Amino acid sequence: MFFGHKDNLEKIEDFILKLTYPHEHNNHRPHAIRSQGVLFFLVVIILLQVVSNVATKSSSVLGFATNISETEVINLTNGQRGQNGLAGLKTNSSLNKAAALKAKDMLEDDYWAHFAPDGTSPWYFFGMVNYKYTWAGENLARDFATSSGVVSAWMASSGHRANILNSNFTEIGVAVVDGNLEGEDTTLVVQLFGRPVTVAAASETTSDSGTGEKVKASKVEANIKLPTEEPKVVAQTESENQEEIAAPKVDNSLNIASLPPFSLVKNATTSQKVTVSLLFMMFALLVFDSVVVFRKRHLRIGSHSLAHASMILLLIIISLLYGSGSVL
Amino acid sequence: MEADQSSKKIEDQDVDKHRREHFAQYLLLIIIFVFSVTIIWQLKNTNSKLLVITAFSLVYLLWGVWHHQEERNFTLSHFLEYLMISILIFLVLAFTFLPI
Repeated sequence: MFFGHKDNLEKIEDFILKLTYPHEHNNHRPHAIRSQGVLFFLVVIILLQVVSNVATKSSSVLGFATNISETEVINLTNGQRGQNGLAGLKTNSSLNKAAALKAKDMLEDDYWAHFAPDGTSPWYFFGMVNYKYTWAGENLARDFATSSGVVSAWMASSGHRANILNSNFTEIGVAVVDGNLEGEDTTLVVQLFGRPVTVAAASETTSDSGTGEKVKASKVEANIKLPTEEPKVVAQTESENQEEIAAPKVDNSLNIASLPPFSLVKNATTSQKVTVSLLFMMFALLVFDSVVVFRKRHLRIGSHSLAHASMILLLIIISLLYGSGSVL
Repeated sequence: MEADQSSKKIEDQDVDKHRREHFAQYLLLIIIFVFSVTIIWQLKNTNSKLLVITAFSLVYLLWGVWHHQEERNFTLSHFLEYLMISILIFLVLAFTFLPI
């Protein structure tokens, strides 16, 4: 029994060596990186893609499908506020509707901006759902793969961060909408913040802040400026009362390079993580093989692992960069 | 003795030349890859993306064949290995850039 156990261990050891280490018993070419090994690896990668996408209820069976949910975006936003000593925001169904309307408008009119080409402001959509506010704000994101990726990118941008951590906001609404924007299939995330008139009236005793009535029903609003330097702008309405509106400054400077690799992994979808892990395993085997062959100066009939390794390294980088969208 | 040294020198020069050629071929491959990915990133049309992804996967296969023919050691096993890696490249790029 004991010897049989030892034999089995030796067999396993021999098997692993043949699979991974170039030596005379595998003709100096590990089985794992031969064509049969790569074929097996391909089948595993496809199967695990299907399993991970089905398990996470992603929108597609194969590929790096986006996995963003409104609830998760709201929870993560409130998490950030909590970490900064601020009260969480209450989900408001009207703001959710307004956010969905804004996303729909962007897709229909094919624009990626706070203000529509015809001049429609973000605040118009608050009016559409009859949300009367004293404070309002908007964050936008597109092409991200996960909710954490979206919120991390907003937190990395000063204007968006200011909105998320604005103590004047008490309510939030989020919409995640798939569609084709500027000829590209994308997932839009619209995050709207608000402070309803009733809250303002209750908390500000000296105020005559029935100012939420100022929300217009007309499509084009006047005297609202696009944010330039400061993330917060003051919008003047026709009734000359002031209403503070926070919109993030236009920030296209956020690029992938500014995000460290660990946050790319952290913000990746499950299917991305699975694929990247498998690719990394293959990369490590190829590099290990190259190093051993180079050091021992083996002569063998086999391709150069370094060429395959360099390709797989580039694939790992590209896979990780998927889902690094842009914020506005 | 002198003959030995001179043959060693020629051998070293050959190795150097071989390494330079190798380096140039690898560099060419990486440049083509980066160029292809940049194009894919710019493209918006799915069919065009599919075309570039397929083209690059085939380029890798052809590069492997060419590379080993240059080295005069091309075999069927080389072809199969490069074919498998080409399919892997196609799959991962398709996962990343195409709405599958």
